[in-house]
Amino acid sequence: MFKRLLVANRGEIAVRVIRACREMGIASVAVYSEADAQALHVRLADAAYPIGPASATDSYLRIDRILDAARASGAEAIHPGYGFLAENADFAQACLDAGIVFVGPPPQAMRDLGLKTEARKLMQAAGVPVVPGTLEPLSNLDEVRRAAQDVGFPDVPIALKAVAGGGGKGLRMVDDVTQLEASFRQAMSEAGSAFGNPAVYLERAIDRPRHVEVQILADQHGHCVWLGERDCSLQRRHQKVLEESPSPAVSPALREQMGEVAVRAAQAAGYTNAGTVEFLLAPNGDFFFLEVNARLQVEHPVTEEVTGIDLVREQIRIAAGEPLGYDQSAIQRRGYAIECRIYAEDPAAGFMPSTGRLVGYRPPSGPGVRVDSGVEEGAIISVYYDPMIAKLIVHAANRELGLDRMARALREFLILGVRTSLPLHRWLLAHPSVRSGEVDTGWLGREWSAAEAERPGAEHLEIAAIGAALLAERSRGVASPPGANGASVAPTTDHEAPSAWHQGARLAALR
Amino acid sequence: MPGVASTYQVTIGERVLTVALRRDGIGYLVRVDDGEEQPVDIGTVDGPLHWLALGERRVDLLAAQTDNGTLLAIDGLDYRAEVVDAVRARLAAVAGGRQGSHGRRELKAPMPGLLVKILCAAGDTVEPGQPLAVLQAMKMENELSLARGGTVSTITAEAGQTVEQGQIILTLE
Repeated sequence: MFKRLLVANRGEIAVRVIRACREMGIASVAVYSEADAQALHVRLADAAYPIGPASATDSYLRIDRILDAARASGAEAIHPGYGFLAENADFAQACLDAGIVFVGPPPQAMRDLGLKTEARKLMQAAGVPVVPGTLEPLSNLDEVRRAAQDVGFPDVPIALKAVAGGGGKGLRMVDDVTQLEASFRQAMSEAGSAFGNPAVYLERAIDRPRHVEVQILADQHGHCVWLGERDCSLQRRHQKVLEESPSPAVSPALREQMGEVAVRAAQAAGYTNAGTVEFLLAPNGDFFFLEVNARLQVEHPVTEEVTGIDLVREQIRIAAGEPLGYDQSAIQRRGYAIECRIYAEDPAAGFMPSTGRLVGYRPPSGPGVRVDSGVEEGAIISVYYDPMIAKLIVHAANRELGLDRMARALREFLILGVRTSLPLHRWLLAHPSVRSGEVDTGWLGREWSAAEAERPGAEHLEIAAIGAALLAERSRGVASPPGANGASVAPTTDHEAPSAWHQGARLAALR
Repeated sequence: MPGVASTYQVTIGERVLTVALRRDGIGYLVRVDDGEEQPVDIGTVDGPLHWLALGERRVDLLAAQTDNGTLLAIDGLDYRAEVVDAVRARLAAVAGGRQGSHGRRELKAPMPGLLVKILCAAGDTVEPGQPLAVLQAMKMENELSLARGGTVSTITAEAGQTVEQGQIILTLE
């Protein structure tokens, strides 16, 4: 096993990996940008190396500086987390070339899976169902027209997708013949600017699909197991906001089938380490390969809670060359788990990112509650990185109890200083369609109502107003002592932060 | 024995509440708008965490007084309250006519970023909530607007410029 491991990431996932290292007796090495010098992941690690200015392109994306830090610290392995360099095959290759173990799949598998047309070819050859469409990039409009006709357009809509893509960029849905040419050009131009590769291909659009993904683990000795599915159908602009397992739409028979197909997909790509095979699940139960996420995923705790398997520990064991040591029959799933991603975004203002200091941060606790977070009270949510504040995960005996437990935990989560997506999550947990599990990937976009989500706030509006007035009164009570004949005559600085003297006096008054 | 009374006008979002407080022993009595008077008190647990007792109700809340109003989080939801002494609010209303305290006149950058577009010109009449500028931050384009309408008097930033948090982009008359 490794003695030292460098974590090439920041925030909650760096904290998550560092904790796994500590449990395994591995010394952890953090890297940090100038903005993160005092961050939690830096303080938790056994050693820490600066790698540049705040901007990710000058720090967390700098392969050379990260490898320098690995060499300087004597780290034998690098865990990339998710995002940043996690799915960068050149980084995995550079680690290999430097004699440092990359905790993830081999670079060749990453390259093959990174190009969607290549991945589709691989999967089709392995008997994995792919969405009907092209296996090659489309080079001109004639090809687009022919391929569209082949899948039944215009009777069924089509999707034009970036070959190098992901995250909805370079994606165009087309349901009208007159839009085909313009959509093709837009998709190419978007793909070109987002991924430096304008190539697009075409798929038949699946109507109202669910996003269901299967977690797999594959060691370097040919063993591969599937750990069950996560349903991530609740998405906003192709960003997942809530994930759950098991999926309310997957029967035991379908689960087995998807699991076996996921293993076949991983093996076809020569995949090792932890990975996720994403599928679109059609309302009729047909499912189609979407892509392989060649990394640990944000929502991995959902699977950890249901299976009891520590995925980061398994990743590190596999990277160190250890065999899995168990087979499919040993994988047991118990109960239900759900995750809400709490973002620093204002749901009432079009999900505008909200930056600033976390003046207050009190995460929930209690039975079945897990909070994976890289921040604490006083931390700054900056413009430089992903605006995720925390992942709130709960585990319970079944879905109904799990949803109740999540609703309870959301109410306990108190965050002050930035706007958060908590109102969105509370709205979701109370919505009949979410409670019954009848959603698809477009549901949130169609149904989201900021006005309804703000309504639960009304019950506490009076209390908030009373609290604010009391604080103003107390600040002033200290500033102009009683007897000054009616505080209201001389309005003071009730808008400004109270001085340290005021606060001290107030605290003393409460003792 | 009735204590000294203070009355505050508290604005949260679009709601304006009148909160009347008077001292009662070690705590207070509170009346919101025309509601019933109830005993109330607040205290610090630690840092921004406070307890609030209102009649028989007990609520934990995070609260902090900032330059940008009083921030509060209760039961998983957050609020920003602007607290004004009611007497001062009346004076301001008399002095400033209907401008009163409803909504800011300055469009400020809510975070540092790149000002992509300005969607109005000086002299334009704009509606409440109408998009006035587009700010790119955290890799996202965000439309900025004001809760009030009016005539654009000055524009103090230009498209393509990097702006700091709180920097004024434009002002209504």
